Amino acid sequence: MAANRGSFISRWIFLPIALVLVFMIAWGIIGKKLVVVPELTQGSKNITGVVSDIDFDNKTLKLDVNEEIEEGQPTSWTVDFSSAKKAFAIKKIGEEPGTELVIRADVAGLEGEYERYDFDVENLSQTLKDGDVITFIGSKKMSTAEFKASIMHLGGIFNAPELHERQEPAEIYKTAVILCIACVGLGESNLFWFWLIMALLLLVILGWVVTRIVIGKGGVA
Amino acid sequence: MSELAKKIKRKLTPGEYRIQVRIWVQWAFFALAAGPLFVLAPIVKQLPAPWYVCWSCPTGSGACALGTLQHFTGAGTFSFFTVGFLGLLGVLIGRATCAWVCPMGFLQEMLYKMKRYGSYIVGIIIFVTTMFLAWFTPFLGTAWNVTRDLSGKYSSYGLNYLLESGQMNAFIFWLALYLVIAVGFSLIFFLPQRKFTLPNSLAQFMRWFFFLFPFIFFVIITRYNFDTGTWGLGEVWWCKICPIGTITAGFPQMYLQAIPQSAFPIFGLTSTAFIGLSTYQGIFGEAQLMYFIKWTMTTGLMWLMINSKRFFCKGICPLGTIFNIFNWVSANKIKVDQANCRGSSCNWCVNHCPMDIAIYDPTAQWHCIRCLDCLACPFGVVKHEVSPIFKWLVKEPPAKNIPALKEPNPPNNPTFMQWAGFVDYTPPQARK
Repeated sequence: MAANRGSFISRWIFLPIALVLVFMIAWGIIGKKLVVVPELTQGSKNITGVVSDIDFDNKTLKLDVNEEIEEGQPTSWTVDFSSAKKAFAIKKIGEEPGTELVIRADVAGLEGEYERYDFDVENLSQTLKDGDVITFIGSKKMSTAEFKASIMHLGGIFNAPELHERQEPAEIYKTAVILCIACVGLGESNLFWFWLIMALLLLVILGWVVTRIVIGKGGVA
Repeated sequence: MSELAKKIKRKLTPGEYRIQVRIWVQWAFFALAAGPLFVLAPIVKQLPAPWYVCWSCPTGSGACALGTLQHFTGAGTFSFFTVGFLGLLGVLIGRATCAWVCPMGFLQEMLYKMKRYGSYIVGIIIFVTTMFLAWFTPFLGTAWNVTRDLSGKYSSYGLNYLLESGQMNAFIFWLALYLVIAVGFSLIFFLPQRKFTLPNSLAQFMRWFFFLFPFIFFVIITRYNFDTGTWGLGEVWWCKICPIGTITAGFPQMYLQAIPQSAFPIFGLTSTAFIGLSTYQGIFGEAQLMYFIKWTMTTGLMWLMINSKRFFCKGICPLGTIFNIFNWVSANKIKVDQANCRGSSCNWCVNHCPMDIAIYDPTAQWHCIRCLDCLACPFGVVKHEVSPIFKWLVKEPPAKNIPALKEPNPPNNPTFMQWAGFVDYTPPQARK
């Protein structure tokens, strides 16, 4: 009896599981019209304007942009460059080609988190003055960005150049680059030492394989 | 009539015919997944691929299922479609995609079958690639002052930089160091081949070690952003160590970087929609010490692939592990007539199995890739068992005249899987 029961289960158990999985696929395609991917998409933003009303005591300045950036956005920005919490790069252009000045700043009116840069803010008062033309070169996270739902996005995703080519509605900036060229290891890593230990551990395992199996004691199963 | 003509004229047995068909199917999917059929990428990349090729492969035409799982986990969502797609394939055909479809499995079979001189060629490729990377990339670059500009892009400091900047002492030192490393890497491919079998038990351990620890764990911490110290989208850690990513995307992308855009306009484009080829620009500087670790691991893995059948499939592949789980409940199974199987006294199936497993061992179900090569068993004790729904798909082979065993001695006690009902088991009392 045990043999019969086992045989029946082994032959038919795939069916209910397959039905559940078919439902999952259907849910993946039909159940969600839009896949919200928070923090996945980021848009880079450059804002160029003229500096005025620099107050080095309170570390604020006013930036008058040359043109309206987006509909509804102000053309005059108050910049607080005293905070290190939200970093926003400012690039000074003009007097000395090839040299760049970057400072940390909070920009009133812009919400969200920005890329973090580490700058030297020394000698700021000597290099930045009213009338300078500077450019914000930060990257703004578009936390409300949504991907248009399709089988492609439910199943996989094209890599960055392909997405760019397809003119997807959201610009893939940092994340997709990380995703897509992770194959090269991406240089430095926060867990570098951990991976080094992992690699050594792998070598130990491989060493065990070589010594245990290749040299004499190998066997089937 | 020559021996070759005799072989050609001789009618293939069903087992041999099936093996020939599998090779042609593998070639076809190799062309589709990582070969000239990448023109179909705009269509095929819309699905998670049941094979293992990095989606950053310049000629890749499928979305990496594992990358998709990481991607969605990192984004805080669950990819119902991917899991459902992989699971459905698993319950219908088990791990058959590994045997019939996966280009990496095919590559490993080819590597294993290589003769001595084939191994030498691989060694030369390893040497050339190591020196190529040393020339153009920082590679061991953290030893140098590698800096980032405002956009976060790494500057490239390779041997070429040292030469061009006139730092001759440093150039000679690093050139010598890289030569030693490259020779060391390639040397193992010039040693005599030592083929070995990865035991099922060790393969099992490795499989779950690599699956549970690096894959699942790091898919979870993909949610953690180490840069900001907050939970959110982090980095795709499995991709960082993925050897298949290194083989199919890491090297090719680097080589494509070296081709002048003016020399071959196709490669100068960031993306070529009309043929689907996809390359990146300016990534030499990205390959640093982490890449060196990946390269070292991949080199070792290549040697293991040459010396052991489908080493990666058997002991490491996370995609295979996902399919393995469904092997037990699959509608596509391999059944062994334990009463008539000669087991370890024969081992015909082991010698012909591309996974190097003993199919008569019930635990081999974890590793079986349903290639069906073992159905050519000369004693006919290996059967293809499909669910009754799919009976019409499988032609029942004619019964073979099996010579009786002198002392058939199947084990009396059921294994756990027999006890649970997933594997057929006949109590000793019921046996003739």
